[in-house]
Amino acid sequence: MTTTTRILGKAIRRREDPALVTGRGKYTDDLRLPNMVYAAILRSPYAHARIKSIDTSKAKALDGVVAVFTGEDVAASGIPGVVPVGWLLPNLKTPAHPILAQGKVRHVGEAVAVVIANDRYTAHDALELIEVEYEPLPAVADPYKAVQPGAPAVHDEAPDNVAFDWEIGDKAATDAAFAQAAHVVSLDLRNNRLAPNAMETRGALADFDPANEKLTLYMTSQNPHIHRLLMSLASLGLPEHKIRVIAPEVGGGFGSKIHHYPEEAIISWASMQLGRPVKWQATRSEAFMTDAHGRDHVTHAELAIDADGKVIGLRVETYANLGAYLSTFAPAVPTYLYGTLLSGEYEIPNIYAHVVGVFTHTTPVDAYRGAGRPEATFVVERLMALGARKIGMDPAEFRRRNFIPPDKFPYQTPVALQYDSGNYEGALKKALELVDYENLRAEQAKAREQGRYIGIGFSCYIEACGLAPSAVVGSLGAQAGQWESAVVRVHPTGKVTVYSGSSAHGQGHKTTFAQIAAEILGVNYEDVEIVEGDTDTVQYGWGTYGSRSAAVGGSAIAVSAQKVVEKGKKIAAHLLEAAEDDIEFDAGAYFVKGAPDKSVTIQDVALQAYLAHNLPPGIEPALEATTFYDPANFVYPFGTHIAVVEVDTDTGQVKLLRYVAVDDVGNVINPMIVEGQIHGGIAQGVGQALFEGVVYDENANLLTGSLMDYALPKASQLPSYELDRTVTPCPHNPLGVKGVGEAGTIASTAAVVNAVMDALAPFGIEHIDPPLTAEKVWRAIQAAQGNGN
Amino acid sequence: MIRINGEHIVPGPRERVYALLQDPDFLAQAIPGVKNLQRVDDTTYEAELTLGVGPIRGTFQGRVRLADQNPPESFSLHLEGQGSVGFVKGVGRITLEEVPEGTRLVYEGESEAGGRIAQVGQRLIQSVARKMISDGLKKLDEAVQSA
Repeated sequence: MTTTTRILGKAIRRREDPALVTGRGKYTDDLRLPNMVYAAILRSPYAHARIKSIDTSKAKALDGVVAVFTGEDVAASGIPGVVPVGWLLPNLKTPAHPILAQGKVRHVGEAVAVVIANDRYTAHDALELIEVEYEPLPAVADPYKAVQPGAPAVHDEAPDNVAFDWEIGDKAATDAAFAQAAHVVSLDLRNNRLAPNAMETRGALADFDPANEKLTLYMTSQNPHIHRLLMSLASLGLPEHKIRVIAPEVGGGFGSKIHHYPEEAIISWASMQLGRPVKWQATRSEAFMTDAHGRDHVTHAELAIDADGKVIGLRVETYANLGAYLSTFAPAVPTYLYGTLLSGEYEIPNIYAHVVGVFTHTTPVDAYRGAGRPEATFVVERLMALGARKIGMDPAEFRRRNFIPPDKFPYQTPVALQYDSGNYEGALKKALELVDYENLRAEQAKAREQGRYIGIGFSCYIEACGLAPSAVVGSLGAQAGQWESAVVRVHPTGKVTVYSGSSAHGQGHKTTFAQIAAEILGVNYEDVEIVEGDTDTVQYGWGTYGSRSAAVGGSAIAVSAQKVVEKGKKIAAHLLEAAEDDIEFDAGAYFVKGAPDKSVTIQDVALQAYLAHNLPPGIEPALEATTFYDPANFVYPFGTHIAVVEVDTDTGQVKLLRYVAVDDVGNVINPMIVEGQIHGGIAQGVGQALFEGVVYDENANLLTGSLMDYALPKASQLPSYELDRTVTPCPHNPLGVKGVGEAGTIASTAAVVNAVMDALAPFGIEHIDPPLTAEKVWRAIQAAQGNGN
Repeated sequence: MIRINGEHIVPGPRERVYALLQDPDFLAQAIPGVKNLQRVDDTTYEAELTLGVGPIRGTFQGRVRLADQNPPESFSLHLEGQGSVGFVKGVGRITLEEVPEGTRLVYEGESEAGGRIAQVGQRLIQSVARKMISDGLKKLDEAVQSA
């Protein structure tokens, strides 16, 4: 194309932001409907207890209370009343997860009763008047302890607390590789549990209209059609065409708003009982107790290296905490999104991973930004750092030596995935230049002489995102399709509306998707409107998660726009009285090859397509196209991140001095949005490395239930990032794009922890589990110096 | 698990101190936030307690049981409470020793909290407990002196 109006690749400002930054965005909690009432949910203070009785009489008697419901009421109403599991593995145990507890509670925060009142304050006050008699039972929070004999069972269906036992790779070949290895490094780690903390907590506003028996549900959803499907199939049992799910503005998700939680079903059911709109908005404490947590692996991993410094084997055993119930995609996260990424960027001939999914008396664990891939990257990149140290090789050189070389793509790993493209050395090289590696190492050595401990940490990550095609994910257990839909509708005036099955929660789809359509149609960017997030408006869609929006959703738009251009070509040929083969299209105009002054615009064509007075024979009126795009493969973004830290050995305090990131996300639609995604992603990964961690006590009481006790990274704790990129276009989608939403998070935890361990190398410290709080680092230094503690 | 221990000199005779610590009327006014302390039997009381820990404030229905009574030297207190903001349970051991200034009261205890009070107030529970103990001991000093 020789278009003069290129907008793809331009850093135009997000059209979403004026409304969002001036407080004009309409979130679920901003919506008010006539006759609306408010819900508050009573939650279990116990991790594990039998419910002996619930007395709601005093709460019901409170002035302003409309109704109080318990699990018994749900059961009596005859709806299925359980939230389902959306990914099945062989021999997976799937105990029922009731939307309101029945008989037992299995984690702190489990919903026990719901109060509906005229205002939310009365609803919350009434919670205190519900009398529940609990018989506390022993509880377990740690996944490794939960599988030991005698641990209290979470479910009768899984007396050993094992939900699944899964393996991937060739065990015998891997064991043989270890038997002949020149060097073996091993690592015991705990991948710390995280709480998602979207800025907007989860909420739902359900409006059941008894006249036509239709439920309209506004909610904080990353995937409204999935929520509709699961409520129809499982929790509510309402026919799908009688449910409309709308995601208004959604203030962040990071995965936590993918899953079908009990609350949206409870609120919908309450609205059906009362025949009036019911609204619920989670408090921050409810978010800590109930938003599906992330990570939480206990892992033993080993790397086998030959005498030439080549990795010849990787062996991993992981106990993955799943919490008390299986959340929507929980079984996929520690298996197909983790075990299949253990090859990283490296040519490792033998890999074997064994993963045990474990029930504990904790909040369910599910996909959280990166979902399985940060856990895999952490294992691989920590082992690569330890391997380099063990054989006395520079960590960058050790990685370079083991990269999959560019001429080996497509590359089949021993753990299922086939990487489509990559140039790992290119990204590493650029990152080394950016950080001025040789000088940095010299500075580090000089600083050490002065008693300053600087560390340099690498993370050469790979990510598999844009999960697809549907047949493949289905064969692995997904109970979901992974294609995406797009309707590109050109109106008679030449203005355009695009309907996408994606559903943004902060990513800027309205900007980037409009760039795609405007580019291909050759219309002004301002003339394209993007519609998402409403199951009655958008035919179907699977939503936004796993960095699939651009690669899958954007590709669907590109294909639809191209179809529109092709249909327009037929009409233009007719209008220009030329053969279709002689028509060219560029920058929004159709013209006869070699005669660009004789042209019609796409706007002219659109008007004629609707007026339909003068169309070629056999052409239907109107100008629009629909695509259901099912990609050929995943996409594989990659890159090198380098963190530079300084550790104050007197206090254990870690300071992040520099952060260099070179990412390859394929072609870039909007560089500013890509950078924003990388920024946020790095912050989240640094959070896991240095600050964040959900803590349960030995009785599975949640101790980090507020932002006083759970430390999110603050701007003042982060440096200005130094970003660059390489571009290796994805070979199988029409835009050549990959994914960027999770890349920063996947890479950065390992980079920062590796940097701190590099700084502490003189003390002989090999590993500390994140978060690397000052206290933990200080204790490790003290212990290494023989000072006890 | 929260552990608390300490000691305090009460300016009065040991028998008097021991008796006050077993007296529900005294305990009701000495323990901050206690309402409706009711005797169930010789060693068990039921109480309603209003407690604030940081941003969390709520009412607990609780039960206090005296055990291992060895007058006037020692006893232990078992405490259990449950309310809208969570639950607390704990045990405290109190020993009294005669000293020239009066009575040395040595206490040690451990408690467990759960629910919102644990999630939000974890770091504050210890200091709230210390404040309650010091307020209670002040009341004890006054009661001993006014007798």
